[in-house]
Amino acid sequence: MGLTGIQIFKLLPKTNCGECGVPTCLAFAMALASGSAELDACPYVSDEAKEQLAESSAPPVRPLTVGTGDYAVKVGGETVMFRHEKTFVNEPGLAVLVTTEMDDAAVNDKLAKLDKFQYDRVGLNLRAEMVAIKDASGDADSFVALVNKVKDASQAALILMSDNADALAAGVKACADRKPLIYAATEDTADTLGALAKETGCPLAIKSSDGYDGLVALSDKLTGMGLKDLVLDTGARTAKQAFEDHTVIRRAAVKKVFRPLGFPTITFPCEMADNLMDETMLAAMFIAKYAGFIVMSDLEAYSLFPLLLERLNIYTDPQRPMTAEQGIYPIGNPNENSPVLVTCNFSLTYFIVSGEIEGSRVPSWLCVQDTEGLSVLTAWAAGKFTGETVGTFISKSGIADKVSHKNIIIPGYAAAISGELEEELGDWKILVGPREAAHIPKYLKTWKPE
Amino acid sequence: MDCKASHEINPTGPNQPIEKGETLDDKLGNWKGVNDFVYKASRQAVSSYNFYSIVYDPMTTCGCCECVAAILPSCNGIMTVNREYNEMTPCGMKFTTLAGTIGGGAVTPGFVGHSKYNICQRKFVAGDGGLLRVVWMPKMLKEELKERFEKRAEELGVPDLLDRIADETVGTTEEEILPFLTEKKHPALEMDPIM
Repeated sequence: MGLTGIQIFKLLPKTNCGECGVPTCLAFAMALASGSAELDACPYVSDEAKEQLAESSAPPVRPLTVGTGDYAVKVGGETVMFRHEKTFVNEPGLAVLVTTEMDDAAVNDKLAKLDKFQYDRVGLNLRAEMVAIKDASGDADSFVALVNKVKDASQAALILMSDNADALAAGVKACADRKPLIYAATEDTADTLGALAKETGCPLAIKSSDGYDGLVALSDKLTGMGLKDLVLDTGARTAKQAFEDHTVIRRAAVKKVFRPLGFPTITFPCEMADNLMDETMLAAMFIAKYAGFIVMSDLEAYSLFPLLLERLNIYTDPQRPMTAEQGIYPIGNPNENSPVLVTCNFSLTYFIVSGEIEGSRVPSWLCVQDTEGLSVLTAWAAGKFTGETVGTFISKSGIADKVSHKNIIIPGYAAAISGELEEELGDWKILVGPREAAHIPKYLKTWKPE
Repeated sequence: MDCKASHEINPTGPNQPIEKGETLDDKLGNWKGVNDFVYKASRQAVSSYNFYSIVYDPMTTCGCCECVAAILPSCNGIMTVNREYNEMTPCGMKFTTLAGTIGGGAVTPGFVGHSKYNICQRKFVAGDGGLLRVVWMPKMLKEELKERFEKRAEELGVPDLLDRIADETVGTTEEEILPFLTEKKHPALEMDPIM
């Protein structure tokens, strides 16, 4: 990696103006060094410093976005080879392929699956978020028709694929406002498609038939034309070669800060296997190993769900505990006589506790206090789940207006705070609940408001 | 003692004996044997480590240190903040952000994690000027360390050093504390530039 925070700091204005969003130049320099901030946020940096910093401050894999609104897919921005070194940043986009060869019913079926297979887990919506639209015949009219159809039917981010530059241009113009990915410029079409990408502001994929050298030459050429958002395809369609290419590209970008390959990649399991199982396996590999966009021929619950979970797991920042939002969670239509429980906001705690409450079939109010993602005992030990913090939270939460009783159940492991909490909450009765979430159902079933 | 015991219980565990070997820099605390070990143990990621510096090749920590020190460039000194202090500090980062910056094997020049007692030891950032560099600490840390701190300050010939160090009652930005340091004639202001 480039410069250290201190080296960057020396080039900054040192005014501590705070206009970049962090209070001091030093803190901003540290953010730049870790790749989590952009130099453009500083309004006062000198041109000379900009030049020196450009190299080290830009993430080695360029971040870019395909699509707009809810379905905008941001990829790139990666800074490490392995997740355990720091974290992976932006999840690869998962796309389903439709082509001009398919009949209406087949296209509708794919789009319906994209819509249908969405999963709410750990407070997140997991789904495939892209459609790759392929022109199979080089016919601009049918391609544009398909683009329009998909565009109207789905909000998904689009990848437009054609070997015919004119058809591609027509397709892109039909949906430029949706910021599609243009696939793909080759040696022959770099000029036309480069101009098209520049005109429409859409990201452009490049594909070379001449290995890394060809790809680098293409990338240099298009960067020279003023394009910034490129996506790489080495053209490999075997598992071994594609895996090798992805590793080489990521290494060149991260280890050597080699800009011509410092872009996200696109990969096509749909062209690498003849059945959905194998295809899914390949996609699983590319999620772990560096792909930016992954195009699948089809989506089924059994193929998509594991990929979504894998992607979520691998791209979750291991440096930060997962958290649930602070607040009152009604579970199972509770009323004014329902029990009130309080716990911390470590997401595992939240999901286990809420799951057990749900399993008990006793409608309840679960109050989740912000403990910065620490579990009950850890939060208690760190002074983030004490009589005072819980008391303040409960008083402000408004739970008193929702129930007619004054009983609150605290986690058994936090029994030590009950005395202090009693002082904080005055008229509330503090009940010490079970230590383990597994014992919650039994506890709730016998619970009676006093 | 703890490390020795840990090593005896688990010879391949986290505590390993290291021969210091040849002294490469006695001011910053740099030894060849240590560098060789760190180079190997970090899988070639870190080649040099200074025991006594926050600015040049400082130590990394696991992130569970009691305090984190950071340089304050415009005050020509350093600040240190203990884990229990949750508010903003003059370097523009809270303890949790600082701990994330220095922890987990990251070598971050300008920042170092350390223990509370380490502050009053003679070797505390000795390569950068030692205790006399400290210009800001949370009030609670000042009070906790008072006795030891004053003993060490006396050794340095600045018995009232603790009173010249700013805390959150003076300010939590460099701009706020600098006039205080100037008024109190804090020794760090007279020292060589920290960077």
